[in-house]
Amino acid sequence: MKAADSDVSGAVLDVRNLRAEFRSGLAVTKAVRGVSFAVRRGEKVAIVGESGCGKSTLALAILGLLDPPGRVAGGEVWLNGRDVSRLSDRAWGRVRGDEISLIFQDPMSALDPVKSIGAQITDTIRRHQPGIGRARARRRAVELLTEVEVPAAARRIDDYPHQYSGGMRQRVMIAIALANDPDIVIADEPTTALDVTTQAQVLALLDRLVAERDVAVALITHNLGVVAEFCDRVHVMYAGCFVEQSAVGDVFSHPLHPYTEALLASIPRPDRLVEGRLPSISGFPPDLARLPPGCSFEPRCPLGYGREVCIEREPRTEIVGYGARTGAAACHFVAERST
Amino acid sequence: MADANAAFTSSRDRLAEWGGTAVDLGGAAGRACGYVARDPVLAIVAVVLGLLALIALFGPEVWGIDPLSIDLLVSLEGPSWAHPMGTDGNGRDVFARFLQGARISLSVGALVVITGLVVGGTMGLMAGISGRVVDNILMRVIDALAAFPPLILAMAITVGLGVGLDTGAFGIMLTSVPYYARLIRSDVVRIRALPAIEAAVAMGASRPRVVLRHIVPHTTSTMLIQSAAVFGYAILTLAALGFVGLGAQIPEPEWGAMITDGLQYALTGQWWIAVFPGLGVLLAVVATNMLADRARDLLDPHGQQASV
Amino acid sequence: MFSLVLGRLTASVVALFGASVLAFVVLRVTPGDPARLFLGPFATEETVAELRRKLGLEMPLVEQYVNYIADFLQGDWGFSYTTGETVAVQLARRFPATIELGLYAFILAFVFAVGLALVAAYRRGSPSDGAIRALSFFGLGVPPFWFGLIALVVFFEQFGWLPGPDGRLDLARDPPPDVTGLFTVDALIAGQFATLGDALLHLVLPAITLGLLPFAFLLRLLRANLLDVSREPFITVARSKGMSRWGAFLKHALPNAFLPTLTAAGLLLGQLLAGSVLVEKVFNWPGAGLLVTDGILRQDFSVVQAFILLSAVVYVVANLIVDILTGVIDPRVRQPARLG
Repeated sequence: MKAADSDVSGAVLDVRNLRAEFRSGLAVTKAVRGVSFAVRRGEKVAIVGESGCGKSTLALAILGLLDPPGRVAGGEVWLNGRDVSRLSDRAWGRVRGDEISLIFQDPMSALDPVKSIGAQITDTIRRHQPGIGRARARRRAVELLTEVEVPAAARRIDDYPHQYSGGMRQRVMIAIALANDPDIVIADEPTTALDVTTQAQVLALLDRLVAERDVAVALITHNLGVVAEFCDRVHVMYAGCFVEQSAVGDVFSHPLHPYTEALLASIPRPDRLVEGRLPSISGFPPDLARLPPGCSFEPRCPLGYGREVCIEREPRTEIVGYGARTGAAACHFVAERST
Repeated sequence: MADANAAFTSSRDRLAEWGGTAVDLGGAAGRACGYVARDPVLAIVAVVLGLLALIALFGPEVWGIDPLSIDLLVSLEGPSWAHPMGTDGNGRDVFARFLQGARISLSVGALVVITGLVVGGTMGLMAGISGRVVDNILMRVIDALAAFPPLILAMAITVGLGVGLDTGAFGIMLTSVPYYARLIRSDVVRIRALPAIEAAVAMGASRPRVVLRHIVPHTTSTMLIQSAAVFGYAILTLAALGFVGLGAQIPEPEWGAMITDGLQYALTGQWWIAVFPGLGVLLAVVATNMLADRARDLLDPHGQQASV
Repeated sequence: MFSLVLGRLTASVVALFGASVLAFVVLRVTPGDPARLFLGPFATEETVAELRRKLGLEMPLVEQYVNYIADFLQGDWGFSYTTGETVAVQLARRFPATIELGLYAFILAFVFAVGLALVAAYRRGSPSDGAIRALSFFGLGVPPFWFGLIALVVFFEQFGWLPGPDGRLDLARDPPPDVTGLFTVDALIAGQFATLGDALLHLVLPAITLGLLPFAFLLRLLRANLLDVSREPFITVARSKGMSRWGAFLKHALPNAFLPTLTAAGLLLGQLLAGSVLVEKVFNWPGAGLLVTDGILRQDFSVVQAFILLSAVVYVVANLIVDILTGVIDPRVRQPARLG
């Protein structure tokens, strides 16, 4: 599925019809089913979805980090104009941490407990800038820590992860991810494990650094508030597929896909009092090992539930454009909804 | 009148509870059969253990030859149809001795597991659910027992109380007590902190009820898994005691003592006297360890339960 | 940190106290005549009575216990009636042999366990993993004395590749000048390379036999810990920095898996101690273990008793050291978290 803007020649990351699955015995769980999108330099895109929709698997698959029993089943990943999806582990070693990096969601367990913070930053610096020398790498690490607003960086660089709070650890993760000036960073729920105040701080930090260095960001999250604040474009993911792709303003004002609409409706708003029950999407996400032939959202869709075309045929992505707004959604009724 | 009714209903409740536990156990047994059917290694292990159990139960009687009867005319003969495992230095039939040895080893193994579980398990349970004082006292006693490497403790018991199979078995039982006690205690401590227990207490369950109905069932899988390992360990240790001469005494046909007996002949060509009993120990212990392993994979795949 | 050490120290002292009481009760107080046990079945009634008096067996139990401990702490471990020497002298003479055997057994066990555990965990689920797991089951289940015997039958009797059960050196060869008591080290120091080679050859089978159980035990433990650690997020993070899978395994998984494995080191020592009693008999290795088994055969239990109590002391101390060491190595314990 092509992105709404079909000009991808300037794309840092271009994912084409990526598929990933998990095999356990005879059961095959299709976690990522034909995802395509592109991210341009300096762009900030969001990948939004419920837990279990395949977002984290997508991130790992893009980076070639999907280990058995998972595997990439098809599609391509183009990074800076070359196909990295078939790279050997060794070749990937030069790319990861250098051109593309990952920020993890759980700061508590994302750092090696028996190595100092400094060691964990300098090792990535020295890996991708050979010949830099220990002293310079260490100075660079201290600079990075200061940039991510870790107080008394020069003193705290030799501390161990357990001596840092969750928010500080996440800042360290950001420092590690940006250490070698990557072209794109994939941030997998970077603020989910943090409290609200720290969340805001970390996001502001990320925003600033990304703008300064013109880094592209693919932000994976289920928090729509964060999306609104931070991102330019949104991809909504459901059951392993992108069901909607739009600019962030459009997504909130005119969602194209029934799922997006239902998601937005289920966010409680302080300015709109609710009578009776809070709106939620009825039903459960589908079992990715046993997907129906038609639209995977149909059982829960207020629009398509019970309709023949939704049950029988999986919808293709339709690109919709009117006025300044262009977007795409995978729904049989996109055309009707956008008018 | 009302009291009689109340008494009646409460005993009915209790019956229902025990019935429920029985059904749980029965269900578990049924599931276990399902697992065996699906895993070939587990099936092989189960077959081996089943065979060993069979020969332990019925072997000596079925085979018929007296393991102790001496016949110097046929001494040191290799395996043959009459004597599938040959004869030893005194003409005794090694196969008959092997079968009897299986009975001895497996019954001691079972005995050790049961007593260790009961004594050590109770101590661990008490320590886990009681206050710090009781916990400390019990655990210091356990520490004293555990201060000796297990074989050495068993040796101490046999030296002090007199050598022989029974004191040897007693010594091994004693070494399994601290193992179970620490195991159950750490499991109970872990379970005690589970939200499920908090919920039971919050709903007004009395202490004994919480313990029996809620805590103990959570420990059963730990106990089962570790018991298989203890069983194997008991057989090994019994053989070791027999080997050094502190356990079963010659001419008793215990596997370890048989190996000692065969030691002198092994390097001069009569290998069968020492080799077969050792194979017996090897099979029994490896099979029970593999069973324990598989059981752990099935019952506790994420390694949450205690293991010592 | 200090409170941790103090706590463990106290617990160890209490455990040793309890163990000494247990040993005292079992070996001195139980039915059966301890004096007779010391002197053997052939001693006269008078000698036995004299020893009973000397051992103070008529005294109140507490007093007996105090004397028992006092004697032990002063190195008076009894007297062996069959050899005419004190137990202390005999044990001192024999211990270096046991230490040398234990040392090589441990080194072999450790090196192979780490290597194979890494392979097994890295190639989880592959045939090599299965083979390695099978090997560990074998090591855990085989009676070491039986295995030693089989090894002798195959490698000595059948093929003649390795020496038989004649101790630490060929009968015709003299031991090297005594510096440490370890023949291999002493021979190296003295430059006697032929002796070194001979000593090493004699060590091969016994060390493998003794080390088999610790090897299997370590292997299983380390493999399990490696698998657990390799599931942690920081391993994936390391790879996202560009580390290869094997590199992440070696540099991040292994150090983290080592910590929980280290706690079993004390158990390992216990296995080596107990194992030496079993293995030395098979190979006629002139160590403390053989002293014990010989004593049992001759119904001369003085050495056995001393060995039992000594084992407890060594075992408890070793576990204490391991506990403290684990605490020291883990940065989380060394430098407790500061807030913010």
